[in-house]
Amino acid sequence: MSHPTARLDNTVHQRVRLGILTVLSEADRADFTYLRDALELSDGNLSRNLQVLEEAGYVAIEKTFEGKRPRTWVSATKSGEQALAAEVAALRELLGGVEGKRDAKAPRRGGGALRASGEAPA
Amino acid sequence: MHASETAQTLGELDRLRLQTRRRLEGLSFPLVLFGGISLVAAALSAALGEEAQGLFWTLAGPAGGIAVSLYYRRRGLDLGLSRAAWPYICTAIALLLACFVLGVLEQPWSVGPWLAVAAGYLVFGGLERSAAVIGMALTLAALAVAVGALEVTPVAVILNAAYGVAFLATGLGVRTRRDEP
Repeated sequence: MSHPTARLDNTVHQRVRLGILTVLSEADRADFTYLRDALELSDGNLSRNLQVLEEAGYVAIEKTFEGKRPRTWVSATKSGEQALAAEVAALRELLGGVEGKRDAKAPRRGGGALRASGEAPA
Repeated sequence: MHASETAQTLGELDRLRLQTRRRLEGLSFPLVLFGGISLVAAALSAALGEEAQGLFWTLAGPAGGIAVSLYYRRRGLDLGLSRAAWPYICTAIALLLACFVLGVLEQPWSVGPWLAVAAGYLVFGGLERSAAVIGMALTLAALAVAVGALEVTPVAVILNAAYGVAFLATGLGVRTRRDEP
């Protein structure tokens, strides 16, 4: 089995892109303004990251009009959802490996591995 | 990436996931709406007899469903965030059909429509990952079974009132939790 670092995806392995895909994995679609505010980004930063994800085929972008107001909706593609799941699994595995080594070195006391982030809710 | 950074990133993703899920929670409106409708049905059943509620629900059920779908549509546009609608629509249609079919059956299926409603809300609670709604649905199903088994009457008055109160209480409770910072 390969080391978890070998399974990290350079396109997704970046906080903003992980954040975008995380929001989109819970929702069917989110608009540009919601993503910008939820992730506390500038318009330009979000646009650049969306472009990278769209080119990789991880998100689909739809531009619509609500009355005269333009609106940009973003949704995760199947491969985007799979890339996020694989990335999070690799990160958890990496973290688990580091914590396992720490536990092995540390004196046994009540036996508790560090769980900085806890298990992800289903 | 260091272990501390990895842990921090995973923690942020969990927080973001929960925040998105909480923003998407939308069962409060349908619960409060159908809670009110159930209480009206209970009052009608008490005043005009159990048959009156059949006609009332035939009109109020689909009307409530349309109101809820319009609410979700508007809410999704206002929030800039929405879930796929089809699992909710399919569940609502199945629920209405089950209520209609079970409603025309006589004993021992007199509590059939209420069991169908409880099953429907069990599915809605699962879709929203809401422990409160799942707990409410299971409690109401147990109550309906008990009323049917013990042949407590008048069934329509008791169950419409119980469902109405449970829907309202859960709907307001879910809303309060969602509005918490």
